[in-house]
Amino acid sequence: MTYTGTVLRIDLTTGKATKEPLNKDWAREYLGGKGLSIKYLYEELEPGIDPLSTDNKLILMTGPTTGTIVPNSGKLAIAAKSPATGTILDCSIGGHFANELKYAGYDAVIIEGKAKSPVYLFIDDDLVEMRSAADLWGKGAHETEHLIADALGDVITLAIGQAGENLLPMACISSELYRQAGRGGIGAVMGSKNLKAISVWGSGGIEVANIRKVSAALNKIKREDTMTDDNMWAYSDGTPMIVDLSQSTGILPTRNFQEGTFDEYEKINSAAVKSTLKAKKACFACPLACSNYVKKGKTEVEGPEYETLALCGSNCAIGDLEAIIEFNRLCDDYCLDTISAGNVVAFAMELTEKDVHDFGIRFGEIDNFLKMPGLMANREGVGADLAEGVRAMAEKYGGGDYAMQVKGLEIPGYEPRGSWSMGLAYGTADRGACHMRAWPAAVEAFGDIDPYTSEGKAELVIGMQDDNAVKFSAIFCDFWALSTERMAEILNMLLDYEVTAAELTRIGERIYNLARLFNEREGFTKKDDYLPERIFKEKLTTGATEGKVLPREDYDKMLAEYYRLRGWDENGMISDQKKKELNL
Amino acid sequence: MQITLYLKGPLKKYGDNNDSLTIELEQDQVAINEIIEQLEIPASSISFIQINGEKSDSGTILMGGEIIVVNPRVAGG
Amino acid sequence: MNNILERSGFCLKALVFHAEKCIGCKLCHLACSAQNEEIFNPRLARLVITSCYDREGLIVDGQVCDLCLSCVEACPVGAIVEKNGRLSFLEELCTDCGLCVDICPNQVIVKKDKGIGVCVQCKSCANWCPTEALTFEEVKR
Repeated sequence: MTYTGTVLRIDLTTGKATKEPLNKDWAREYLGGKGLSIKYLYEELEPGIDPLSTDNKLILMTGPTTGTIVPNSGKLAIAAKSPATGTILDCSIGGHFANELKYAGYDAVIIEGKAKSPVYLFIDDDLVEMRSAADLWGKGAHETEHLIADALGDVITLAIGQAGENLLPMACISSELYRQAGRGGIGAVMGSKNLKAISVWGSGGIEVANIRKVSAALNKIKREDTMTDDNMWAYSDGTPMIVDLSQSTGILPTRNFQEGTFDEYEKINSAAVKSTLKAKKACFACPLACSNYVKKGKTEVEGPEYETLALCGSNCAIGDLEAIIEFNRLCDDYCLDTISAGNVVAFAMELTEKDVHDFGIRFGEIDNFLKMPGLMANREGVGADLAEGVRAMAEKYGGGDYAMQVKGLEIPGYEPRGSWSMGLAYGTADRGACHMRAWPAAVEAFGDIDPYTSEGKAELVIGMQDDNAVKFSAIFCDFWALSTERMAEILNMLLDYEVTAAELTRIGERIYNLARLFNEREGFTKKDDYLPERIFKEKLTTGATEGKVLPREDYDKMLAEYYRLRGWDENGMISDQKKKELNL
Repeated sequence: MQITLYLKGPLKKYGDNNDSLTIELEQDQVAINEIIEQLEIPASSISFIQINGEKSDSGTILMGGEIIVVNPRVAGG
Repeated sequence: MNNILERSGFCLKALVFHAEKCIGCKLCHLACSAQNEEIFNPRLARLVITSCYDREGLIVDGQVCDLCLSCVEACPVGAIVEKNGRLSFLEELCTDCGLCVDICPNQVIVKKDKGIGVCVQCKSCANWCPTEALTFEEVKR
C-alpha cells in the first residue's frame, strides 16, 4: 500500500502543525491528487467564502503512485477555491516536491488560516517549522528558492513571487524555478496567507510488496507503453511541437483570437525552440523529459511551452523567440501564469488598437510587451488593470465580447472555432477555460474527427474529462497517453485492494461530478458554461479556419447533449439520481 | 516525380533519422498512405499529414513536387 | 589491488555516467534502491545523480562506482571483497567502522543503520535509464 496514511494539517494563524490519519474511505473513492483534494475542500470549506480570506484552505496532495518508480508519477496536486473564478481549483505541478513530501511521511498537507507576518514552512520529516520570510517577501520566486537553498541546503521548494504577494488572480506557484502550478490564482491563495514558500525534505521511502518483480514489470511497461511513438514527441520536441500543428489546422490563437494562423509562426515553432536547446529535463520518475532547457541571448529558461508560445507569442503578435523566452522567464520569476498573462496583454493590445482604452501597448511591440510582467506583478501603471484579468478589464472598459475567458479564466492556446470540441471542453471545465480537463483537439483538429460538427463531441469530451480526472488523481502525468486498463494494472501493483478499469472510469466520473457540485454550491449555472461572443459570431479570416465560427446553436446542442449524457438537468444541475449513483 | 517528406518528432526514426527525405517516385498515381506503408510507419503513430501546409487525407494522390509533413500523435497539451 | 586485476588480464567493466544525456529523472536511484534495499528511496541508492538549478543555471552531476577499490583496501576486516571485477559485502564481518564510506572518492557507499551498501553492478540503474546516460563499459586505469 503506497499511501503513508498521514495528513499534515498546518494552521498558520496559531502556528500549530498536527498529524491526522488520511481518510481511507475518501481515498478509495477519490484516489488522491485532484480527486481527493477536491473532496477535502468540498467537505471542509463553507460555501461562499472569499478565496483570499483566512477561510480558504490550500491543499497539497500526492497520489498512490507518488514516490514509486511508476513512470510519469512525479506530479503534485495543489488545490483551493480559486481567486480568479470562485470555482474549485486544482493545479498540477511537476518537479520533485510530491515525492519528497511522501518521503517525509505525508500523503497531503492542508494549510489553513493566515500567518501574522510573512513566513515559509520547512517540513523535515517529523519536524515542521514556521520560519520568518521577512527577508524573502518582495523577492521573485527564483531568488526566494536560491535563498532558501542557501539556508536549508538540499530541499525542494514551492514558492510564490511578487504576483502571489500582491494577490493577482493569475498568480502561480513555482518550484525548481521553472515548474508551475499555473492557473486560477493558486499563488494568490499562498500570498493571502502570508505564506511565501513551502520547503520539504524527506528521508523515508515507499515500500511495495514484491518490489523487484513490480520494478521489472514497470520497466517493461516503460519501454513498451511509455517510451513509444505515442509519447516520445515529448522527448523529441516537447509541447512546442504543437505550434506547427495548430498553425496548419488554423487553431493557433493570434492577435487576441482574431485569427487562427500567425505569419511568423516559424520563428516560434519547435524548430526555432530546438535551435536554442541546451538540455532536456524531466520531472521525478519521468522518462519522457518534455522540458526544454533553452538559452537565447543572455536569457535562459526551462520552456517556453506551447501555451506560452501561443498566448505570449502569436496571440500578442510577437514573432521573436528571444522576447518570448525573456517574457517567460519574467513570468516564472514574478509567478504569473503565462496563459492568463498572454491573454491580458493581447486583450490590452486590442483594446488599445480599437481605441476602447489606451493601455499604451499594441500588437507586436516587443519593448512594451517585456515591461508588462513587472507592471502586472507589482500592480503598477497600466499593470494595475491588467493584473485583474480580462473579465475585470472588460467590466471596466468594455470589449467583453472579445475578453477571452470562461468563468473568469483566460482561454488556452486552441482556437474553438477550428476545434468545436475544445469549445465544449473550455465551457465545461471545472476551473474555467482549461485545456487539461479534456484535450479533444488531439483527436479532432489534429486527428480524424470533423472539427466543424457538434455530433459526438459531448461524448468525446466527457470520456476525456473522466479519464483525466482519474489520471490527475492516481497520479500520472498528462503526457503519458495511457489507458485506464493500464492505470488499473499499475495501481493493482501498489494498492492492497483490486481496482478495474471500469471502476477507475467511475471514480473519474465521481470526481468530475464532485467538482461540478462544488461549483453548483457556489452559484454557478448554465450561463457560466458559455464562451465569449467572438467565438460564436466573428468569422476567422485566415488559413484552414477561414470563414469559420462556432455557431451558438451548435454550441447549445453540444452543451445540451453534454448535460444529458452526464445525467444533469437541462440547466446543468446534477440530478439527485446521479448524486446517489456516485455517492455524492 | 519527386516529393519531399518531413517526419516529425519520434517519427524521424522511420526515415533513418533524417530531417527530410527526398523521394523519387517511378509511377504516377501514388497515394500518400502507400509511401507511409513503404516506410513502415504505423498508422496509429500518426496524428495527421500535411501536404503543402494543409491537413490532408492520407488517401490523397500525389502529383509530384509536394512537401509532405507527417505529424506524430500528441497527448496532454 | 588494481595491479592484480590488470596483471590477471581481467577486463574491468564499470558504470559510466554521461552527463550530457541525463534528464534528471532519478529512475536510476529508484531502480537501485528497489533492487538492493527493497524500498523506493532515492537516498539509499548506490549512485548519486543530481540535476538541479543554482544561480548559474542547470547543474548536472553524477557519481557512480567506478571500481577504484578504495573501499576494499580500506576495510580493516575484509568485509568488502572484489571478485571478477564485482564487489560484494559480507555483513557478518562488518564492524560498522565507516572507513569505506569516508574513503569512497565518489561517495556512493550508503551508510545504513547496520552495515553499508556498495554498488554490486546489478545494472538496474542502467537498465532503467531512459536515455542511456548510464552505461556499463570497460574502464581504463
